[in-house]
Amino acid sequence: MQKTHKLIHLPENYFGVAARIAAIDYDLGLNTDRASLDDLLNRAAAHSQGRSLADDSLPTGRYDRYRTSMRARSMMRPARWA
Amino acid sequence: MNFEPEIRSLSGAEWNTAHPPLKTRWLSMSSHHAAKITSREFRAKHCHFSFRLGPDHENVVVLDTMGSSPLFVGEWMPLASESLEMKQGASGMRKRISAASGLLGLFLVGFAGLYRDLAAQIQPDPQLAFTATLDKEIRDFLKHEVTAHVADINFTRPSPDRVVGALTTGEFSLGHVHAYAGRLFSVRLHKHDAGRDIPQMIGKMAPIELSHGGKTWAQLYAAMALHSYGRDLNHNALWLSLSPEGKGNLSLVARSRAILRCKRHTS
Repeated sequence: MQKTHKLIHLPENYFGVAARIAAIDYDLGLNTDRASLDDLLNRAAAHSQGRSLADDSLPTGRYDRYRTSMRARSMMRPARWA
Repeated sequence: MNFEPEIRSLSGAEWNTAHPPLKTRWLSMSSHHAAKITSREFRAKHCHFSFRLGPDHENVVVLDTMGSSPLFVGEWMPLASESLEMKQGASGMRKRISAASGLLGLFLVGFAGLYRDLAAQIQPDPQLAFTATLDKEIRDFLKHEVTAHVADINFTRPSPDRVVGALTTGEFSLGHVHAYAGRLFSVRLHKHDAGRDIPQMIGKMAPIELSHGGKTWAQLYAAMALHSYGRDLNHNALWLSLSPEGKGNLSLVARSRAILRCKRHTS
């Protein structure tokens, strides 16, 4: 089956949520698949179009609390990710 | 460790005048503030203080000028001499310390006089006292509020509609409790401070979230709760407190389905 990089029945900004879950899982060792994590992170980044906007009101984007939270989390990448 | 009083004083002086990074390395976060306060008290009291070991022989009690009321109770920082004592036995080491104490005592007299002159010029830092007070107020507030909320949550099925009057319906309401219960560990509240065993409570929430389908935010909050207790599962207090079934439930909620789906599609 080919990857479509589309979420089913969910807004696109849920890529951000999924990326955070996957990042925590990777940090905890619940998931060891780095390629899948990178794939999700790249998708979440692509959705934000480089502006760190994590909502679904494209193309303008909107500032909300989740954006702040996700941005803060992404800045706290653990050393083992390097 | 039942040292003579002068040896305890020597140890205390060495501990309290250690370079700040050394203190930070040996003290827990909770006693870090206390160490700062003690340092302030130490300066304000012009070196007139004394130490004694706590009843459990693990903590150090810092006494005031009169030696009557305790200023604070802190963790005992093992000195190199104590580590040696543990290795070589108490009696031999005590003799060695007694022999050394005469020479070191002479040094201490000079040192204390010098330090007293310096301490007289240093003013107590009100900012440190403010930090300690604020720290205590925040902790007391959290403890009070969390205890009230946690007491109102029941884990029977179906899950409660309201907690302390607030609606809990929706996709991620119980998940919020999941996440913030995890954060209690980060703010150094004891696991029983909320009136319940917090790790066990988090464990009980996992099957409830699973029964709701364990949707996106539920997954995120469960993962955050687990992560709050530390990234190494071999030392993660929450993870270690769970039964195999509990671990299975929590990891099922916390694991990213996007990754699992991705694996399923590519395999």
